[in-house]
Amino acid sequence: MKRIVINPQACNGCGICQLVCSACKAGQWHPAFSRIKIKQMREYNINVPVVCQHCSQPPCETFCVMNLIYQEPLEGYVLRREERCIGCRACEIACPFSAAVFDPIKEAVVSCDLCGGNPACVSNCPEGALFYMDEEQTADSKRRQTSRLKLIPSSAAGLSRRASL
Amino acid sequence: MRIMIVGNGAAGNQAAASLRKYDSQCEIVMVDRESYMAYSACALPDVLAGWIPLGKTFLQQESDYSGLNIRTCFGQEVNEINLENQYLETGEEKYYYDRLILATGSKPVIPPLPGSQLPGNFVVKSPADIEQILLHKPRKVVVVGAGNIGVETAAAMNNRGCTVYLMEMQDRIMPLLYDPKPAAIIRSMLEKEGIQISTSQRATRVIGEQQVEGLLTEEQTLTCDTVIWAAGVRQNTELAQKAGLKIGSLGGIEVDKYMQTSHRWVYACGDCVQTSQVFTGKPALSLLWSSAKSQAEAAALNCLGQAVKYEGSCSLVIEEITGVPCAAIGLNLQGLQDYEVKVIEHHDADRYYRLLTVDDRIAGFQCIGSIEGAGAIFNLIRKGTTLSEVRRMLLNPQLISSMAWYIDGAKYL
Repeated sequence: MKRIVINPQACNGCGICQLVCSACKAGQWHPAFSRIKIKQMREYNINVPVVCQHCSQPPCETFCVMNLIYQEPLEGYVLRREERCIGCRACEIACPFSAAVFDPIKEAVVSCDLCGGNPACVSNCPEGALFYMDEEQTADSKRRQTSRLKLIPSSAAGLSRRASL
Repeated sequence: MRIMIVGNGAAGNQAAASLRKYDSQCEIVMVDRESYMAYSACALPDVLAGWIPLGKTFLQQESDYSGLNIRTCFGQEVNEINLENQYLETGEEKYYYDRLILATGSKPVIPPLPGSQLPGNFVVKSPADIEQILLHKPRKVVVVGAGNIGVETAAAMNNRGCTVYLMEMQDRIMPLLYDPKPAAIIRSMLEKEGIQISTSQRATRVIGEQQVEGLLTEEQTLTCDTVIWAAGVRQNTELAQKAGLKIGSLGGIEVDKYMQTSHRWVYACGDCVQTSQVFTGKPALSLLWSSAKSQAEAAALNCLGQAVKYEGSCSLVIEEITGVPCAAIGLNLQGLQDYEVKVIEHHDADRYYRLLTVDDRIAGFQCIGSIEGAGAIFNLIRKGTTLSEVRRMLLNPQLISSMAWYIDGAKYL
């Protein structure tokens, strides 16, 4: 049950993960093709990479009119039979994370498939903001991360972003 | 345990799949009147337009059913359900059940006007309808009803090179989804494509002797060789009615929050039921693919003895008109008549959106041009999150960075 885990405090918004993803999955060198997206909030100096969360009850699965999104039974990954997609984009709008991306070359909506177990964005992140880890480990590290943040006054939180995981 | 499912649409198939996902032992039998494999009704206008082949709309093959160990009895019409002794009868066989799931769906309405039975009158509901329309080789088409199916069908026929005339009884197109202003924007987009639209018009009769030659409305006569009726659907409740199940005020089978009908071992889901709207809590019909699927999942889990509530329906309709995505989420002003509604609106050259709020909650959202962030709004509506709660979250940089999807929704609030 490994997932991509994000530490938004460490992300500086360089966008390398987007370029790597577009190159690996679509053969293009453009963030529009990327399945991982960096959301930015300038006023708080926040950069948050967002990618498919592989939900346990995926809304995209419910909204797909072609029934092509399915949960892989063993690990619970949310995967797609892309060749069947008609590009209606219903899943794109149902996803709260906007993690489904329309690929104009394939004429299909695609989402993160974790590169089959070795996500390229994680191995290429220079800031160490992306991790690929087990669920149990995730909960543990998130707790540590939050407890560290509690010690920092909220006004200064934006400055010390480099809290290591 | 033997669970029978009547119907092979979105709801029936989702119910079967969910049952099998959580219980590998139970016996699942599906009965349906049609002998088709399951198809996606939402993809049919795309077939009409010629964007995808008809074969692509079929979702499952014979082997998919047998792979899940589901027995299929297609092409058999259920004549009678005996609730007392728990069996149902088709013309050929008698099936006993422990739990029954009704997913009988809906059928399109053709108003009983003179001439509406002539060859040349069509509906868009099943692959057979599409085949018939294509065989008819239409040149001049009148689409009656400008709901989302009417609009999609009109755009599809226009793409085929037909002359298309779209007619609507109410004063704007897609009256149940959009408010007057966005409806007017979509209308002008369609008119730019060459579709002629008239609203506040009612068809009175179809002209023609051997086949359709025209359509008479209250104001004018339209010459055409094809009439496509997209004037709404009616729930298939005859079977349930005959068996003695309670029918609701809106004409759907009445179910409680657990998708259970008035009889203990009978559940219902899909187009044929009436549930409640997630925002108002009032009874509502939701004739959407996604509602059918989530209702079916709830019904299946309740069949297996888990108490799972269906949260209520929240509509989400998206269509692409001339390459511009448009989406309508939740209710519009017409659906919120009894409430005091505040409107947040934005319009510029390449996008339009409108957010409807009641008290402290979001009730509806309509956007044209860009659907970015609409997913965040949709989930806020579905969960009933208050606006003040969202604003509180947005003020705290630590919270917001761990709930990134709020960032997308933030630009609308």
